[in-house]
Order: sequence, then C-alpha cells, then structure tokens
Amino acid sequence: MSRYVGRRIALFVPTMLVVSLLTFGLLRAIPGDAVLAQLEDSPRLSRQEIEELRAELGLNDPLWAQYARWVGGILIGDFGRSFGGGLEITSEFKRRLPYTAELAVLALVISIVIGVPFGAASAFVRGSPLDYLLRLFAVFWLAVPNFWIATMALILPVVWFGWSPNIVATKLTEAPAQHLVDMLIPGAIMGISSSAVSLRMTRSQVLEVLRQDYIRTAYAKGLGSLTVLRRHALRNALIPVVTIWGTQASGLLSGSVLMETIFGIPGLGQWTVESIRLRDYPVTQALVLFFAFATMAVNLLVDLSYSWLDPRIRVG
Amino acid sequence: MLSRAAHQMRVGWSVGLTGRHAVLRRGGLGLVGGVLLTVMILMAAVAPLITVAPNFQTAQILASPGGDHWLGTDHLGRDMFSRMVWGSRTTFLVAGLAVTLGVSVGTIAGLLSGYYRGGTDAVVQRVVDALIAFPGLVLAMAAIAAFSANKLTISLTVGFVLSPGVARIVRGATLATMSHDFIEAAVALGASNRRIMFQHVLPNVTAPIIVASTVLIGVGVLIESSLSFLGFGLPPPDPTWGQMLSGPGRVYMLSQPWLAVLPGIAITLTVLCANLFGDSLRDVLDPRLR
Repeated sequence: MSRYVGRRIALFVPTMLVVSLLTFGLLRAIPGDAVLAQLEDSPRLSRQEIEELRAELGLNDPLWAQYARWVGGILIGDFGRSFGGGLEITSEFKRRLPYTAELAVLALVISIVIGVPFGAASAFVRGSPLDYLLRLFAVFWLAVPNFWIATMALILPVVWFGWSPNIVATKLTEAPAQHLVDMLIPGAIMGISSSAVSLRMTRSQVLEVLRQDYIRTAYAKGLGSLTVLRRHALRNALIPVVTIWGTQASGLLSGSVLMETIFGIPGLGQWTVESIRLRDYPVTQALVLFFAFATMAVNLLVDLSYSWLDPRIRVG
Repeated sequence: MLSRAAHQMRVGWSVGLTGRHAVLRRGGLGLVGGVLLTVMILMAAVAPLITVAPNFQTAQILASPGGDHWLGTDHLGRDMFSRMVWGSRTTFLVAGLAVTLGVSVGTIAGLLSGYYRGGTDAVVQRVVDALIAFPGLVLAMAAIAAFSANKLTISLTVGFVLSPGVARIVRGATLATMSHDFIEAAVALGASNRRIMFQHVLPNVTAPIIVASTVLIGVGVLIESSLSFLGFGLPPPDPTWGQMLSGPGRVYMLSQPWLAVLPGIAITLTVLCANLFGDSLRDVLDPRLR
C-alpha cells in the first residue's frame, strides 16, 4: 500500500513539472510578447518607454531565468502581478476561488446524488420502461451543451412566469438566500449534465457486478433484492465510478468557465475568460496552472481512494 | 504504412456498418443517429445548392418561423435556415479536421508508448497526463486568442485538445494486444519494430480507435460551439452555431426566442446522433466495452 502511494505521489512531481513547462512554453510561443500586446491600444509610447517596461517585467532575461523566477515565486505563493492595473494575482485569486469551489462542489454533489442511485436503479430494472427513460435522460444530457441550457434557463422562466434568475450573482455576505439561488441554478445545470456520465458508468458497472457468482450466492442465501443491491452489488460497482469523478473534475472547471460567464459569477472561470480577452498573460498562466494542478490533485486523491476501496490494487 | 492503417480503418468501419451484427442490420437508435448525421453532413456539403448565401439580407427583419423563411430571419434579416446550414459547414469541417488530427497524433503516441514501454512510455505518459490535466477549453481559447481565429487554427487547437485522450485509449489497447502469442511469433520471425507495430498491433487496435473517433466528433462539435459561444470561434459575419446563440440569440432572447433555441437544438441533435451512432458501433466492434 505505502509503496503504491509513494509511487503515485512520486509521479505527481514530473507531471507537474511538464505542466508548468507547457504552460510557460505555450504562452511564450504566442507571437508578439506581452508588452506589445498590452501596448496595441496605446501606440503613443516611445520605443524607449517600451524597452523600459519590458526590462521592468523581466522580459529581456533569458527564458530559463524567467521560468525559474516564475516557478520560484509560485513555490512561495506569489503568482506575480496582472498587467491590467497591476493587481496582485494571489490576493485576487483568493477572493475568486470560493465562488468557483462552491459551484464545483454543488455540481459534483448534484451529479452524484442523481447519477449513482438512478444508474443503479436503471441497471436493476434493466429493459424496463424506467431503464429506457433513464438511459434516454443520460444520452440527452451528454449531448446537450451546457451553455445552451444556461441560456434557456435565463429565457424560459421569463417567458413562462415573468421571473428570471439574476445575471450577476449576489454575494454570500449580502444576501445568503439569494446567493444560494444564484449559485444553485448554474450548479444544477453543471451537476445534471455531468450526472449523465455517472449514471451510465454506474449502470454498466452494476450490470457487470450483477452477473457475478457472489450475487447469485447472496440471492441463494435468501437476501432480498434491495439488500443484495445495496450491500453486495453497489459497493463493488462503485469503485470504478469513483475514478470518473476524477475525470469529471476537469470538465467541471471548463463548465465553470461557461457558467460563470453566463451567470455573472465573479469566480476563476470568469477571470480566465477576461484575462484571455485582455491578453493578461500572467493571470492566464497562473489560472491554467492552477486548473491543471487541481485536476491532477483530484485524480491523485481518486487513485489513492481507489486503492483503499479495492484491496486487489494494493497487493497487485 | 499509414495507408495500411487507413485501409484497416476502412475495413473496421465497414465491419461496424454492414457486418453480420452491424449497425445497419441492428437498426434502432444507432442507425437513426448514423443516418441523421449523414443527412446533416450532406446538407452541409451541398449548402450552396439548397440555401441562399448566409449573409444575404432580406427586407424581413426578425421574421417568425414559417412563411417565406421557414426558420425565420435574424435581426439583420438573414435567413435562419441558411445560416444554420452554413454554420454546420464550419462545425463539421472543424470537428472533422480536429478528430482526424487528434486521432492520428493520439494513435501514434499511444502505439509508441504501449509498444516500447519503459522509458518511452514513461515520457509519453507524463506528457499525456499533463495534457489531460489541462483545461482543454481554456487552452483552446488562449491559443485562438493568440493566433487569429480561422478554421485551420480552431481545428488544430481542438485536435490538440482531443489527442491525449486517444493516446490513452490506444496505449491500453496496444498493451493488451502485445500480450498475444502472435506478437511473440512475429518477433521470433524477425519482423522489424515498425512492421510489428503497424502490421500486427495497429489492425488489432482499430476497433477502439473507430469508436473513439465517432464519439469525439460530438466532443469536437461541443468544444467548437463552446468556443464560438464565448467569442473565440470564427468571427462574424461567418455563421457558427455557438456565435448565433450567444450573439443575436441572447440579445433577442425574450422577443424572438427561436434565435437562441434553433442553434441549441442543432448542436444537441448533432452530438446526440454522433453519440448514438458511436454507442452502436461500440456494441458491434468492441463488445467488451459494453
């Protein structure tokens, strides 16, 4: 067990190194450096002033020195400053993170609460109308784009009830109840659409497990259907399902980019879009790195819990 | 060598489509999805013959569906049906190119990784891990903002985003194939690495590649439309579904909701068809994954 955990954690470091190099490299590969991009709108600056600005931002240093300075800063929690207004990225980050985290947690909870029980039910009543209905639900939500549902969620209530969700999210501290409503709609959209993946996965895993001999044994010794499902089938079926929650994490982050833009939630996703529009590279770079790190961390946790849930992996 | 791979793909497709248990014979939703998808692609291909130019402005502004314009017109009096079909040209072109690129790169990376194992595998897998960890949509937005947004750059970026997933699938299938006796036999007969990889391993991993390609068409369509929804797709006046939804769709969403409803239905239908068809193909070609 400890060897597996050690190996898994050891792999995290080189992958993170590749991630940081790619992030840094990709944004440097963009033609025209950050200063030129910034100054496109204000061409009055003289050549000398541009050079000074570039020196100030350290863009004349060799690439390895820039990279070392960037990584060094991150290790002590300093992501540098944004171009637009010289905002301190770390403090702005801390201000925005809770919104995105709240959205992601809401979505994940909704996704699990819908996906797992309905997936198991669908497998258990295989071939019945309920099974078809649930599969149809999953197939539909896999195909429908989040941003369209979000747009519809803004339009249809107005048409039908003359009520509309807020286009700018209220703060938790100002109006907690309203805040929850504002977050719940985008959270539910993300959650329901990712529940489709959980549902399909749970269904196929439960079907697989129900074929096993020990299920027949459980029935043979006189256990009721629900007990078999809950105690024997679901426990074993859920292990692979946990893995896809890891892959869902990156989907939720992409989803947050869209949902935060549509519902005016001042989180990291909205900031990402803004920073890319304004070509605020230090911000984009920090956010991309964070998203990649978060995804990898979630996947690491999932892998570790996987080995904890399934003893065969520990031994093998 | 690669033409052989292409041949294998063709054989795989035809087995999936017309073989003994294939999609065409089984019928059902997979067949419906495949047929609808084909019809949509054909319509996109012959768009100039069946529609007016997408930017032709008629005198009727914001006309409701029905009448002269059966899907209505937008705020500039442009026929919505024509814009939808022309938008699908962009969508299918980008998704098609992106999937081709992502599948080719991913297949080669996965083959090399699974075949050589050891150091090659370790390096390729770290890069794949890193790329999978990246938020694909964000990466694509940044790349498109930096280079100009045209069909080629968008396809390249989306393809790049799709490739690590393919690499993972192909690596897994390659590892499984490598344990078979016929690989050992090929080695014993003195076949070169390249020959074993492309003549013996590749034909055995085409099934998951075909299934993945089909499902990835849907993913490509979703990424392309998300990008254009956020303003990182083809710039106006070229129509794309995502941009029609976010632009006029959102401006006139209360008075003319169909402007937002129609592109959404088009995206959903396309992805739905690709998924249904892909699921059916998987049942035929790769029953283990069912």
